[in-house]
Amino acid sequence: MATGSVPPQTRQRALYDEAVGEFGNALSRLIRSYERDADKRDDLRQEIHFALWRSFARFDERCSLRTWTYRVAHNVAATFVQRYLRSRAAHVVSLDELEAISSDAAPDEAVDRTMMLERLHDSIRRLQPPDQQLMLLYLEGLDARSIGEITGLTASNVATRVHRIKKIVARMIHAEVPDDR
Amino acid sequence: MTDEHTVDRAQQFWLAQPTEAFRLGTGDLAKKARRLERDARNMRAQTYVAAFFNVTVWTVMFFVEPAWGARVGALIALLGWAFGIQQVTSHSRRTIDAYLELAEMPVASFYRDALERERSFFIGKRFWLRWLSMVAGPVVFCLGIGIHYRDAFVLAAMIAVTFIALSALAIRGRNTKIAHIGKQLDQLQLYEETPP
Repeated sequence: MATGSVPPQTRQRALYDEAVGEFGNALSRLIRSYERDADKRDDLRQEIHFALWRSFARFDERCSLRTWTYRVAHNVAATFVQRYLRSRAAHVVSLDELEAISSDAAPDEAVDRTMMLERLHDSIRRLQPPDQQLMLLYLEGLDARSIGEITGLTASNVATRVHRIKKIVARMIHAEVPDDR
Repeated sequence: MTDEHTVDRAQQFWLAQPTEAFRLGTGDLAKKARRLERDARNMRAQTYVAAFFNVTVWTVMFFVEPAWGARVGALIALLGWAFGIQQVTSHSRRTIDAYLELAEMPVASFYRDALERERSFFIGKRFWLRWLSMVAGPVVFCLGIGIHYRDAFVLAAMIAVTFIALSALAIRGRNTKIAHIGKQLDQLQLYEETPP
């Protein structure tokens, strides 16, 4: 976007509109994964969108619009969830623990698409923040380099984690979803 | 069907799931900005009220109370609570400042900074000084009252002991909190340094 003579507020609004146009669906999925409760989800949605709009006053194009948008969204969501961490702390698991849980999850059982998605959202909610963000970004189809740019982790670290996430996802649904769904 | 294929399909389902269209309009943004300003104003007002209340109560006690021990306690409490309020305010300001840099910081760094900021509030010399300065004043005040007015000694001692016990409970809560934060920081450290 050209920055020349455009008034700052117009540019800020245009960037926000562009980000929502391009990544609005991804934000919606992210919000659903972070928060199960519908009322809190609405609050989180408002907070993310407001923070995003406000952040564009400082957008200097040192990173892509996608990286910027995802960073704001994940940082706001993680902060939002931290407020409820005390009650959530007992249920938060690491990737290792989730791996163990997913292998216990009756792999022969047929799982339909809705249930599989619900299971994915539930698993993401249960993860601790860095794994939570990695799994979400992986499911959004981002490559290791882009995930590294957003999270600040090395590409090799991301690749190793993504490999494990793939195994977890595969176990979770175990090829039992019929093709014609 | 291979794992790779399964995962690809999961990703397809993920991306195809129904989403809710949402966009904040200009009016919503202005309303939200106003609400944020109002919340900040309210928080500042609450801090001033708390500060005013403490300063007034302990200042009055300092000048009115004939017991010298109680006057010393009132003076310590006055200084201690002022110090405590200043610490809490500067911690909130640091949190707000960090929130302005949401997009400049990668997610892991932002998360680590938030944890470290939270932990630093609860550890070290500044924490113990804050704790001591907030507890010592009221305790010395109660003891001063108890020593001066013999009849009220038991009641004053009981209040002082209750206050110390509640403070000890707060320390226990603080220990749990910093242990939890420490665990999260250790995990994050492992996460950032070495592939698992």
